Amino acid sequence: MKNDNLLVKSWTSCPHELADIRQNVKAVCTRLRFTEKDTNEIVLAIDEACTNIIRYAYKDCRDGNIRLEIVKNNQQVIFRLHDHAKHVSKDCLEQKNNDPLKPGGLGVMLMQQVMNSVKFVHTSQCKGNILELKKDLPQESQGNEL
Amino acid sequence: MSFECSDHLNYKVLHLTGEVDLSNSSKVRRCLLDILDNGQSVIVDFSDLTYIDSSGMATLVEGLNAANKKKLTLAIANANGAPLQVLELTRLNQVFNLIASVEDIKE
Repeated sequence: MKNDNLLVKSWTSCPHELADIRQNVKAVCTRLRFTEKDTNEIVLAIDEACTNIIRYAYKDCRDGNIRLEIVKNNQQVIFRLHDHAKHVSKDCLEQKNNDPLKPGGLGVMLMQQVMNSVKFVHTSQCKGNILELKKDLPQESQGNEL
Repeated sequence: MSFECSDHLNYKVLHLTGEVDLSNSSKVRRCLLDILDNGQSVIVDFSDLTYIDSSGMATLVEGLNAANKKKLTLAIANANGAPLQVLELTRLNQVFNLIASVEDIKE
């Protein structure tokens, strides 16, 4: 299946970078003709993923690197977030807390709810972590060249 | 992001403007908990809030739990757009007292 590259960009793991990450994701979603509601949700999911990288992978250390790669195939847009932190357990994507009043787990819950799939794609050659989030394209963008 | 405090009836109104995320939610947390520590109920006004993430929501949940312990009220006014979507996605719309405007609060 042919993949179109839509964005490759890096930021430092500083919370102040999140606003620019959101702007970039929003621009791609608009280009892909997602509705405003879906765009808001996707922006939120990617922001939550980046927040988790900053807080739990880099442990709030601000000089790490977050690289966002966005590609699309005929059916889906794929967001890959690369970091250079220590490998994190795949268990951290499990929803352990279904009670929104208890602390922790809201970000993972939001990512899982919004996206069609969220998973780590660890490889032995790769330093750090790659989190891959997939979302089905709107009908009118499926199979279209951009 | 910026915020302002004002008074309405016997409530403090915390008016949030812009985007609340990991970079600034701790400032909102401090202000919200200070108001509650002073024994005042609070209305968080979302009318100029364009974005809030889970760290912002967690701050509001912490505020709600603190308010409940002190038998105070924490309400959210004017939630719409992306912030309302986050409330719905997290099901926190069923937990918070959501009011259409600050003036709709019952004394």
